[in-house]
Amino acid sequence: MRRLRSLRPVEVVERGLDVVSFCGHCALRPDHAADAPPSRVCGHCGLGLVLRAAADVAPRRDEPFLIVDTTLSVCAVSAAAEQLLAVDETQAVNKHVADFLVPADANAPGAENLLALLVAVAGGSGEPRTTVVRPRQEFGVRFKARIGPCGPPPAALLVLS
Amino acid sequence: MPLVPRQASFELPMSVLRTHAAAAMLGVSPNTLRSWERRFGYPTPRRTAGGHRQFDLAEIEALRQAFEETHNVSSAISIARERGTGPSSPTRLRSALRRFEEIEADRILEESLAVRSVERTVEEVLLPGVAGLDGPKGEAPSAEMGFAWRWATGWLAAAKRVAPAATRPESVLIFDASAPCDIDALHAQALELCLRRAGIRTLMLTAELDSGRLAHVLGTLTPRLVVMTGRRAWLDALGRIAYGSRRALEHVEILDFRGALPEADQPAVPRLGTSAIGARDLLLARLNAPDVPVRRRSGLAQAG
Repeated sequence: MRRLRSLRPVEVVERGLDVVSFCGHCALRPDHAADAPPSRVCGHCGLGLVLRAAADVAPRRDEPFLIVDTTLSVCAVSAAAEQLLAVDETQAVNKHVADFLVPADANAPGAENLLALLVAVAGGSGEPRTTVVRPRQEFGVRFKARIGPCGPPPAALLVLS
Repeated sequence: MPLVPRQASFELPMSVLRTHAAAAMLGVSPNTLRSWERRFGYPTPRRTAGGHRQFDLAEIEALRQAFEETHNVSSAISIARERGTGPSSPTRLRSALRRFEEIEADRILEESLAVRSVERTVEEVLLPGVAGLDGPKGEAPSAEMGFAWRWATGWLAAAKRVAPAATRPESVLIFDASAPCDIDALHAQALELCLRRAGIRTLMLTAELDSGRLAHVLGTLTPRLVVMTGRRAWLDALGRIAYGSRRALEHVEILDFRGALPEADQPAVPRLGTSAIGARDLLLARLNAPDVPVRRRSGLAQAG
């Protein structure tokens, strides 16, 4: 017999994909007990807040990512991104995202304007995009970046792979 | 006759939560809350005599609210730390002093002066803010408390320097028996500041004067009121002050601020309570009583 208590409503974005929760620091997806209120703080690392994003944008456990708001300020840096970019989250928060990541080849024809993309996504233009970025002070190192909306509060999620 | 009943505790009332309650309010485990305190220095709980943490309800509420506005814990803590309970508060001051942030502590008091008098800023922000760093009795003061005490002493001294000149002929002599880093020492300085700002000639000295110097001071200043404060002096030192004052001066009144003298069923020395503002008002009432001039007793040689 089906156990009705195991059913729970699932958020779905306009593209028909599930919305999933993840920790803004360790990327772990919280395992909410059916009868327990969801916590805003990650119960695993205690350093990140639980955010939500579409399943095709949300980071996997090992993927570095940043959260950027409409002013292009860094709002969160995952533990993996701290290691990748050699920066501590407390030093990176409220700094401009271009202090850390820039388009890999800004002169290439048709290259997405990274900053305009982040502003649009953080402001609610919901389509995820992919682009290629590099660390600011390094050449020859490139990362594919998928960018999509996340929250709350609304911001842009930039996942590096 | 006592002016106010002696209080068993000098702690100001505040809404506090134990660790489990604060953690439940934030939706985290007690270990997570303790780890934030270690890693970020926030929240800033006080400690009971038994070592248990007591979290300020306003801090926990500010943090809970900040979680809704940010994407990570460290940003939420920065926001909550800035907000505290209002434009300036003991909580914010304590947080700044705990981080040795002298400039931020100065700014918090400047903000307070925009909405409070100097006296209320001292009594409602400075003193409780520093008192929040005081550890259990008998323990050596922490580095944070030492820093906070020296900062507060400097602030009070600067405020005293710009106090107006005395406008009354009477004087008040305060004997302070507290030690460096005692919160009582700050309360004594606060009382001195309040009295000076009220136009009363006030001098504060250590309670450890020998008899010769004591007689010289009393004979020179002829104080109308002698206030004893601080709890580090031996009884014979306090007795020497009381005896010396009454022996040297007619009609001088001796009063106790913040429990300098031991309790007795019928205390002979009136008590001024624990608040500098309250003590100032009581002293002013004494001074405004029908004029009883203070005179040196004649025919007495200076005690050696």
